[in-house]
Amino acid sequence: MSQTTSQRAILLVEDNPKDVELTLRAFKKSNLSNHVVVAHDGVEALDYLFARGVHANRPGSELPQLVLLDIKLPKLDGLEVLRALRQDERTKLVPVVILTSSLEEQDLIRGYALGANSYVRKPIDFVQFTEAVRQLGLYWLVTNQAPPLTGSA
Amino acid sequence: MGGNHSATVGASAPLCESFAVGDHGAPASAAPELDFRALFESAPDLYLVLTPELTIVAVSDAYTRATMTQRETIVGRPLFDVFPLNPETPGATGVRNLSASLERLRRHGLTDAMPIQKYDIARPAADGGGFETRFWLSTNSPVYGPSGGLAYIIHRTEDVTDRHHVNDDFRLMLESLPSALIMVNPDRIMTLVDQETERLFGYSRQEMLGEPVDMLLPEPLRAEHAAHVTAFFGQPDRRELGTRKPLFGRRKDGSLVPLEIRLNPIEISEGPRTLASIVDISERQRIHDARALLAAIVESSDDAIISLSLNGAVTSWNEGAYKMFGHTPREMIGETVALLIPAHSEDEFSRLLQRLRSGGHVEHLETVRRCKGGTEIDVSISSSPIRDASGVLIGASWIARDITQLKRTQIALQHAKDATDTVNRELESFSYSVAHDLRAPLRSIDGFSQALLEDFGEKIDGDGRRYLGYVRESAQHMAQLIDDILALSRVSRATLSDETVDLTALAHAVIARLSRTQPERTVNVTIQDGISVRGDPRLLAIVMDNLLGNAWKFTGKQADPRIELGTTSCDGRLAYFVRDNGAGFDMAYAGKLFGVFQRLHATHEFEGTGVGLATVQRVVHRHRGQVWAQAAVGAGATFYFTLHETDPSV
Repeated sequence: MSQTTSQRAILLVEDNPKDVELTLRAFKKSNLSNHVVVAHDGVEALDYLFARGVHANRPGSELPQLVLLDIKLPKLDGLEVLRALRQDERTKLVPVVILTSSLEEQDLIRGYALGANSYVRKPIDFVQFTEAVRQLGLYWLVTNQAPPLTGSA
Repeated sequence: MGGNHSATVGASAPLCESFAVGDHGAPASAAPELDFRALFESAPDLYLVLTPELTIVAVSDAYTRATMTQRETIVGRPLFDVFPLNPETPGATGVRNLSASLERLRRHGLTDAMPIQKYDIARPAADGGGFETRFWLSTNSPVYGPSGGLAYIIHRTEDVTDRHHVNDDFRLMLESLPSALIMVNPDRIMTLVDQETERLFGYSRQEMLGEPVDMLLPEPLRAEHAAHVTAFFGQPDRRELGTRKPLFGRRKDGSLVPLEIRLNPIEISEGPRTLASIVDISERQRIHDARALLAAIVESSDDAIISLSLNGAVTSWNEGAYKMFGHTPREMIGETVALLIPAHSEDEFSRLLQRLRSGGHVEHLETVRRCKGGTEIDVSISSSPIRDASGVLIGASWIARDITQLKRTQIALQHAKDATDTVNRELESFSYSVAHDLRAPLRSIDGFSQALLEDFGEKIDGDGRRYLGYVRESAQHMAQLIDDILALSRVSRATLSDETVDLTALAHAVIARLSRTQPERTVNVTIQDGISVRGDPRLLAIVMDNLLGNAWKFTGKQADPRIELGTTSCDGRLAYFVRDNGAGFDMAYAGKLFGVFQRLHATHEFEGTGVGLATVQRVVHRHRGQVWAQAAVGAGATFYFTLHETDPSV
């Protein structure tokens, strides 16, 4: 793993500020040093990914190394965000892990059908949650070979 | 003929002498001597003269011709030596009839006519031997000697073989008639019965002939029957019995049979007789009864049952049709059913006629019909073609049911279903929210409590840290409750699939998973091989999860824990069971076992939310089964369940 790839940002799409803080805390405890960008709703997530709106000044070619996507989100829900980014040439290969409270079968099926790379249910127990985040980071940021930077195949 | 005393007494005296010495008193010289022997022998009829001991003393030429015998070989010999019984005809009545006839002759001193006799004649060996069947009509006339004793018997015979064949034909005709024939004399004695009579009453001919006809009547009728017979013979007239009111005969086995009887007075040579021709009408009676039953059903039906001719005219109109449409049968018969078609769909009548003439069936056609007052009702009509006996289409039957109320109910039901669907959709989104929104705060409670412990642990004393631990435990417990409630609601909502499910394999998987969570435990698990059921694999997996999970949990404090999955028979039903030797429970609380949030153990003993068994029960009920338990405190518990019972009640 080269230092540069592991330092690319993680996009956390999560509307609940407390969950954001807990997730960031878990990242920190797991010694994952990547920069975490937080989007608080679906629209903001897509703005970031496509470098538009509030993120218009961001260099569009810099895609996050991993997207952690909640399903239930204001404005545009997680599954719609997933569909949009899978349909776009630039973002269709970006690894997306659905991180949610839902265990509804329909959400699992639709998530995978839309091209989610992984589906993780947030444990209530914070110790377990921290462990889940640590494993996620280890796998997706270290073990896993990310797709090439240019999203197009 | 009788009373001729001219013959010389002497059984063995030659007949010629008797004739020769005849003392009629006629002077021998007055006329040329007649050769009586020649005259006798050449008489055209068949004569045999016998001694009372039945020795042949004279015979006519005609007789020897007819019997294929020679005078020289038969005269002087006993009758039955010459005409032996045909050994191939056992039971021949010749000797009996002849001796009976001779007995009568002796008693009455009169010529006696014998019944027609079948008597086989021995054919000469030259003609091939054997016997030839002949029928004889014979009379025996006595010839008395001077002392008044019987001297000779003149046996006159007529070969009626040809005539008898004609009788045979009649007899055959008689026997083939479909009705039973009985001839009765004025003393009510049966003198003739046929085969059909035997079949109908179950008596043999021998049992009936010569017996009073009363034996064929039911007991109560016997007394008055004699008077009827007497009256009938007094005023003989053809008449029919049993056509108006039912008449019964009595069979040998005592059963009664409905009859129709035609009585014909006839006069035969023996005197007046009544010939009864009897028909068994039980089949006709059955058809009649069945018809009456059908007619009663049609009349009592709430459905309108109508028949139509090919031009749409009503040919029958039942009570139900009157109640439904308001028209009486008198008003409708002959009218076309166009009267019943609402004004706004006049072309329906032509379509109806078309259908009628095509001879097709219609089932449950839902349409609108007009009643007498103009009210329109929703009806469901089924129609079938009516054909005559030769298969020609002659009309159609209509069965119409008033479905106005049904329609209303259907609409109400649809509304109710729509409302339920809406509620279900709301419930679904509600449970989705519960899953998501209720868990998020719990995560914060747990997460920040943990953060407090981690970041500020040194500033909080032991009690404070313990309390924070409780906060976290409670948050996690509540999360578990939410999950269990969601699982329960999913069980109720899920569409049931019907697949073959390997319960044995499911159980092995559950036990393997439990062993992984607590590898330190050693549990003796017995799982019966090859338990295969029909049902929803995911829901049945939940049942196995819960029952085996409970067994695992409640044997946690057992020194020698044992868990068993098997099948057994309960009141003839196949039941599946999960048995453990764990903590068990008091059967007094068994009723609470399957309620939501019902727990029989304190949380500090065994953890749990009290939803698992409620979920099990719901899955089992959805599979039309039952679930129950048997247990004792400290002696383990057995949970039984059945699947697919016919009676869904619990």
